[in-house]
Amino acid sequence: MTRKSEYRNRIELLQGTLDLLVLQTLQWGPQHGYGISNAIRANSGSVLQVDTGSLYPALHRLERAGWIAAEWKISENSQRVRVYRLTRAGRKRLNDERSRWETLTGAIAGILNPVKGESET
Amino acid sequence: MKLPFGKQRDRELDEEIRSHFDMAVRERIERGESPEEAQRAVRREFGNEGLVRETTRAMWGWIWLENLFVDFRYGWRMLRKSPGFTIAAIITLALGIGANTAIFSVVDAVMLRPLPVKNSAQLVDVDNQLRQKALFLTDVSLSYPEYQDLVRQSTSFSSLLAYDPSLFALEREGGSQIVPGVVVTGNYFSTLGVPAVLGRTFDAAEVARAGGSGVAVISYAFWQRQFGGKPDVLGETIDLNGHPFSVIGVAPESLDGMMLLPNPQIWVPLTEESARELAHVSLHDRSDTAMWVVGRLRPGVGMAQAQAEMSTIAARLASEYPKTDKDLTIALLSANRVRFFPGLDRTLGAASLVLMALVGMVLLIACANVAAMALARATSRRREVAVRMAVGAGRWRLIRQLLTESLILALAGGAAAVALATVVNGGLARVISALPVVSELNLRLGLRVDYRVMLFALLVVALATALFGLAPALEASSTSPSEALKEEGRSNTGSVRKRRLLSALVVAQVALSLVLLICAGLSLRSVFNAGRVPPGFDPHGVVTAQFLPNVVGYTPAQSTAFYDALLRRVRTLPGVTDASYATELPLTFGNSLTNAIPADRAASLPENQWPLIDYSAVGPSYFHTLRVPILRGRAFTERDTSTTPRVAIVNQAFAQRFWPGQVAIGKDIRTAGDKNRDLEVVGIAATGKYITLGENPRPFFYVCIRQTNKTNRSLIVRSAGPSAALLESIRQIAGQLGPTVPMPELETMTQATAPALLLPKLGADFFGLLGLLGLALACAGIYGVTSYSVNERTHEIGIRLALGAERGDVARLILRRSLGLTFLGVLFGLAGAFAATRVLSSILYGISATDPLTFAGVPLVPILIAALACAVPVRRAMRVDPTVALKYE
Repeated sequence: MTRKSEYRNRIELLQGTLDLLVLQTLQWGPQHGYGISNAIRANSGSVLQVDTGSLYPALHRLERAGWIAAEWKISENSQRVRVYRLTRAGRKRLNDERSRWETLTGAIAGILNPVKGESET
Repeated sequence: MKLPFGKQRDRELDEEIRSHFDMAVRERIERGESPEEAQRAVRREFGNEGLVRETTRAMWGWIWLENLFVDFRYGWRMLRKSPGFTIAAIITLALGIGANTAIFSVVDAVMLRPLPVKNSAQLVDVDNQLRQKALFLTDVSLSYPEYQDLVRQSTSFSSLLAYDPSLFALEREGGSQIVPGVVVTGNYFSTLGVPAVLGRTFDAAEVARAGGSGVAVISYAFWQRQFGGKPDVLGETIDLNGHPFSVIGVAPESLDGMMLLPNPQIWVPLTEESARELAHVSLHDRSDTAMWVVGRLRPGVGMAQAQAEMSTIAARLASEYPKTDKDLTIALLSANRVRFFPGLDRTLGAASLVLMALVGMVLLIACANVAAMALARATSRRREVAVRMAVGAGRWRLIRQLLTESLILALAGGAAAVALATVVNGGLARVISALPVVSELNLRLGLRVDYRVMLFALLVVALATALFGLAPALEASSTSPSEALKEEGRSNTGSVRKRRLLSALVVAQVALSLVLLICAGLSLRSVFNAGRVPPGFDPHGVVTAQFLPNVVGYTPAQSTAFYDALLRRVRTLPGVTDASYATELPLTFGNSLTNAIPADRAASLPENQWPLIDYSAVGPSYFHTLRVPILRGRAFTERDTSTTPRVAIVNQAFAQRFWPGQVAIGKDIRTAGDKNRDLEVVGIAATGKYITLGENPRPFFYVCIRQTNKTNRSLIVRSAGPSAALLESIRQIAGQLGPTVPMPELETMTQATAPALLLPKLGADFFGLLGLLGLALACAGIYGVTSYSVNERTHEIGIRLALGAERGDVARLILRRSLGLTFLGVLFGLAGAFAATRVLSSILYGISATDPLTFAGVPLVPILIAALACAVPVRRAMRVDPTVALKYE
């Protein structure tokens, strides 16, 4: 039972949603994979846990699509890390994804909280 | 499965993940956890590190290749699980692809393969316009002075070569032998860009400097045959027309059979001497048109530009030398596109297209068979497909998997086909080279399975995969998994779409095989007819020999004396009833053409627009010897000589064409070659067959040989005795009369005319074989699909019977459905055959392309097979107890 509740608390991310989150996170500046996953967890109040099995495929997919670019840098702990930054195409993509997301959430909200008058007619 | 791609990227990914891991651990340690605890926790968080790497790597695109390997392995496993299906499919495809590959290799060798010379696309034939109209060799060439004018005046070519195909008398122990050779300008080999395989070739500078006399390059085949391929052949002397020539080089094997006709065995540089002694051509006479000219276009010069220049030069020559060049028209043809002669090339091109279309149909039938088998198999695979879909395989992924299986089948079939084609080609090459006309001319097709054929086979494999694999794959992947799993195990009716697909396949197979069968039927009937077409003369009991005294320099007068003496002596031989000679014999692939027209109409048309008509110069008793009936008037007699008025005998077709409804005898004919002396028609001969047995009646006329100066004649002797002894006697007499005259092949007229039957016979053999192949495939296919679709309805039949339907009614219902499809196929097939056989009509002999007997009879075959294919499973279904049929479900 405990296992089950553990899973219930974590929200499975929809495909595409992760892309949006990664792009949004990178908007605040270049970041490495570990940093991105930390930022998403922190900014979602620990609700969204991105596991590495989803994060890295997503990062490489986005890189391949040209929305983000990567380069090797030396971290403050003098370790070689791969740092991602948003490209111009990525910025545009982020805007598109955002407006799509807003449309989607708006539509879902409309279904969840229907306006009384409308549903009665 | 890991591939050796992107090693660098793999290392980087490892490092990236490692750094992530390290950072996570460090943070936990900083928060106060012990290093061991931290590592354990992070590892737990991380999950399966290998999987992380794997899925990330998949983002980089090599995945499709890996998937392909996986698909191949999986497909191979699935195919091995059903060996019956796999073997049947591979055999079917091997037959279909093999037939296509074999035919393609022939068509490629005859029609398509570029000439084996350097940059063959630049080579153009420079032709006298006439050549493009003629079917066979005629006055197509230019004179040497004209060739020199072209060399001097044109700028389109980097070089122009000329050659004169000749026959050389090769001196050997016990007499001389005729060898096809060629006298060529010094730049011949350098223009073609062909080096010698042994020794060297001559070049223009050498020929100009040394007079080039006395050297020769021999062909690879000649080297092998005459010198046993010995390496020290260089410096050997060969005696041609009584003059010694020293062998300086051997041409590459690839040049054998290039310019298929004539296929030279010996190349001798063109000089004053060789022109006189070997080619018997004048280098100064503008009317002696014996030179075939080939040019290599300068880089950047197109055909149109060169043609324009040639036309300008031709016009200039015409005004400069009105006497000889008034009608000179020069046409350029890409040398790669000239195989024999333009007329024949067109026929062969059309025939090739028909062949390719027909074997294409065999392939379609084969594909339809395999598609039907795959569809049937798809039913038993529904569960597998459904499970794969249920665990998340995408539709596209499934289609790809199924197509990969098809590709494996097609590749295996293709491999078998190429092996088959190699064997078939070997046999075919042997058969073809054994044909009389081919061995005589040393034709070599050079049939081989090379990269071009392989490429073609691969193309066919890809096409076949798409053809037979796509429909079943789409069909199989379109089932929804829940539905498929629910009805799992039920061999039930399958989807409506699948039944439609199967129906379409039945219709297509019936239609295609019908087209093939009708073509085969027509060809078979045509060759049967060809054996019975009266040729217009009686070849039985006649022997023939073509002596070529002009090769060893006989003048027309000497030649006539030789023939007359020969004739006198031969006539006295025991058993000989008659003997004569002619320049051209019917149905022996030799013909002479001339522009001819009734004299009173000559002024209405320019000379080069007068109809081109075949003729032969014949001796007095020609008609009697060959038993060609003279219908009106008289035959030539001993009284027709060079001093009496020129006379001609026309055939009925000639008389009907030019003087319909009039009396032809007494009319005059004017020929382009001799405009000042008209021929008076003195007799009308029955119309026979002259070039092929299948030809329509064509105008033909005979001139009296005594009134011409033709030197090369074929002797014809009719005798009651055995031909072997007669041939030996003729040989002896000829040897005594002209010891230097090369001894020709002596053969019976039946042997000599056999090649005329060759084309229809080859055609019938071929179509027969193709038809049989198509029939076998189609029978298997029609039977398989029909019986399968009836089998599928066993359940339905059971229900109907259980509900009290009459057995007869049910049987009729099933039969009606299946036979209906067959009839639909027959309808399409008849329409297709009607269109297809129109193309065939040019090679059909004495039979209409819409022969009602064939069109009515052949469709019975697929109908009968379909009826049988229905009857067997229906009978079985009838016998099954309804309760069993239902329970079985």
